[in-house]
Amino acid sequence: MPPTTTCKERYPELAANRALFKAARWVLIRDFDFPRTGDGAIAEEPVEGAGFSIGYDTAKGWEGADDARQSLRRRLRFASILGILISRNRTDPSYGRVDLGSSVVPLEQYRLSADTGEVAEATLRVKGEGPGHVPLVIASQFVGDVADAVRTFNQAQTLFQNVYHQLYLEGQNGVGNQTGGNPLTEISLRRLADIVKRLVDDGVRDNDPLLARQILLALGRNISSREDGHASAIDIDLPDLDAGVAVDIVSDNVAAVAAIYFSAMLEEMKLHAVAETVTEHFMTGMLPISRSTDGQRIYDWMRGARDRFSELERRSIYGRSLGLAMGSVGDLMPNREFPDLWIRFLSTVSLLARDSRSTNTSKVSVEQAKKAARDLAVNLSLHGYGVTHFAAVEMQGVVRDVKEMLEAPEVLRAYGVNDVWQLVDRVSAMYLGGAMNGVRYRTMAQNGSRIILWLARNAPRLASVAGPHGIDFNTETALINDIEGWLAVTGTPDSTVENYTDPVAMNAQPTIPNLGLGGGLGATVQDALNRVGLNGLPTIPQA
Amino acid sequence: MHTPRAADVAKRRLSLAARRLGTPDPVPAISELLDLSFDLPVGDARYHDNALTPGQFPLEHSFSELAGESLRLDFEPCGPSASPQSRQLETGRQVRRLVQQAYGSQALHWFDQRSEPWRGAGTPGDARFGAWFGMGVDRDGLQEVKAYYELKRGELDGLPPNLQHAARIAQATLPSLEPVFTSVACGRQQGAQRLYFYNRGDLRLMDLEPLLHRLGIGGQLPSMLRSIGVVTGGRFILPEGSVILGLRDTRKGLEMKLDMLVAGVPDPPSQMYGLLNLLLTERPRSHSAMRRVMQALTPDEVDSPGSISVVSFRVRPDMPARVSVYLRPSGYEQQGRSSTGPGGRETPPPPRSPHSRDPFYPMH
Repeated sequence: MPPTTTCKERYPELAANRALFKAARWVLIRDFDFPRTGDGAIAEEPVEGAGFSIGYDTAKGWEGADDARQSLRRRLRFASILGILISRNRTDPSYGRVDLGSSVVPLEQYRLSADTGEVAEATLRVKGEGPGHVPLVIASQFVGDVADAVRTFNQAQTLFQNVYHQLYLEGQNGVGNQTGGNPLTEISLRRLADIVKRLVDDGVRDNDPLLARQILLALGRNISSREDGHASAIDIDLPDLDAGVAVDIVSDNVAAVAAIYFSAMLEEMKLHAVAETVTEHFMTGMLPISRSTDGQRIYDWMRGARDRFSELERRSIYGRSLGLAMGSVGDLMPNREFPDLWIRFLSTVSLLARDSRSTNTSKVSVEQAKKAARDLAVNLSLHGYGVTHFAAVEMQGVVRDVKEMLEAPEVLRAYGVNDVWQLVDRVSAMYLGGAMNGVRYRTMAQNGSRIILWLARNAPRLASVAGPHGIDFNTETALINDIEGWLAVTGTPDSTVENYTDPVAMNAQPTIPNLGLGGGLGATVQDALNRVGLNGLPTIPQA
Repeated sequence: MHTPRAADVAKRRLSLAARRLGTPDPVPAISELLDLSFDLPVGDARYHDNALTPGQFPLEHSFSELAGESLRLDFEPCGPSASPQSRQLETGRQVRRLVQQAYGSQALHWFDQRSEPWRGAGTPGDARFGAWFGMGVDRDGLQEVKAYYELKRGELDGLPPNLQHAARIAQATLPSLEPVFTSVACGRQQGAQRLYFYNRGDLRLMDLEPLLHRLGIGGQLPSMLRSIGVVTGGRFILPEGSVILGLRDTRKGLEMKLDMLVAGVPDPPSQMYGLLNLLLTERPRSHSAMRRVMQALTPDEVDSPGSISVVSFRVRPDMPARVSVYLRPSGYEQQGRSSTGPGGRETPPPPRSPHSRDPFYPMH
């Protein structure tokens, strides 16, 4: 069936990025001459009612000097800027601030009359989840982000048009045809920005005779990267510290550590070692598996070994991200603070939740819980730089592959077990020196990674030093359940929980890696001093 | 008056002792760990909350007949507010680094195998202290580096098979024994793992006879009884809280070590150091080594290296009882605070809890 020239366009990210939509629209109206009203105006709401849509028609294309074409190109510009911002994870225009600090632009200050073409306050409020409205706050840094996105778009405007065209065609699903209306096409704005960035990075020009092929190739790579957007499309750039802000948290970094944690717990459960053992048995013909998809999975796993992190590399990453004492001995930046910060956060939130159900005086406050959360999130953010994100992407793929491989019916039958966890227990007990407590490590993996993801989601709010606005730990039932589950499965008694609820002053709370000075310098200097006898020791009295 | 950090005091004391003993200075090798562990001012009361030397500064020096004139120390790492898991991981990291630097990859591989259960996220939630760090240096450099790991209640699974077997024999023969912690030590020539038991209830030394016989070291019971008798002034029943038994599998057979915690012994002989000297006079080289080590550990400003906290007796099939002495070093009290009581009499140190190494006695 040939592609339809006009479709109803849907943008999956918009519903979750309402504040971003409104804030970007406002900045573009204020600083980039986007009309507020009239034909060329951007819809006020992203999805509700007459929500935002570019209204592209493949038969007519982008070119043309008439008003309709100009409006079309302006809407594409707006959508592309949103995609760039989402791709760069600049989705929170307030940068975690709910107060109106010195570096924040409260929109109310820009309320002007409609006669002058300026923006009225009423249009600049975003619906909150609770009753009423919450004011939209824009950090001045966000204005800079938008300007940067505009610059990016301007440098590759034609590429954006071509990529949008291709995504428009690829996204058609024909649903509308069956119901008599226009067919639907679903276009990810993040993907739009990611693909253009990849094309620019690869030096593809908009007059490339094979441009359509190049776009499809980039699209294929984007889809096969098994994540929402190619890993390299997410910038890891050091955050600018705002005035009065002492800590900063990069939510992507924190989320990456969640996957590392998940993998580390399963590695401790010997999941990876079991996969290697099963592969060995397969190689030596010990498994009664012949030509089948189950056998193919094991074969693929075996052949793909050279493209995966080795065990030593994985363990080094666990050491760097989570402080586990494994992997490379010479690592300069092990996360030695993680175990303490982790148990402090879990203990504080647990006790806070228990206190809320008690009539006794609370032993911990919301501020304490928020501090514990922020300390942990800052720590994870710091140790999530560098290879962590990319390792996380790979490790989640490895866990998925291993699980698929081991839960194949033929493999389970070969070892006489009913599911993958029984298989891990059995192979561990028979060949790997004993089985671990599978329930413990599975719970730790699942609950622990969900707890870290919660921190990642709430990173902007935790980074704000204005106070615990916006986080009500008592209503975070999923988080509390995960924490209680983790504490229960590790056998943590109440007395231990109470011991770790007192806040601890952090001497140093770095938010970026310490380049090249990781611990070796002090010893080197000391060694040099010792050699020349200048270590300040008193003279030893002669006996 | 400025109160120095305990880490700085410890570094200065260690460097001084090393120079007196003629060993390399151990401070550069463990400087980072000392900073991490003793960042509070010397004399800070928070140090007292520890499981190695409860109520005291968490660092011990020791002399071992088998180690000669070496500078040995054990301490609880990471400071008083650290979690047990944090101590386990940091101890593992530091020991691995030193083993790799001093002894190479094979030794590291051995250590990794033995310590794997305690280098991950498997620390139980009810752990009390997690781990301790120990090391010794002699004239040739790093003599030994050691990690002590707390065991889960009743846990023997992470131990090597021979040690598990010996542990089961020990528990079957003396049901009052409960595994408390294990040490994994790497030396120049070999590594060794020891399992420590807490003895619940009083221990009649003669009750050790069947255990020693079953472990193949029954022939050394007389020498052990004699040594303990000399040091304790003829006491042959050690009360609860005063005994830790250690078992180690060596190439020459099983080795048993009996740690006598002095604070758990009622009315210990006031001249215990003299009695130790008396015991060692028959082994002049050991005697001389102990005196040298004690002198080296004595700071200039006081006249004693500290007080004796533990006396250990080791026997093997080919070796009669040999002694080790653990010291709670002086010089870590808060400066400016007098250590003498009214009338010029020295204030006795706070009593060491008889439950100090009881794995199930609450710390807080």
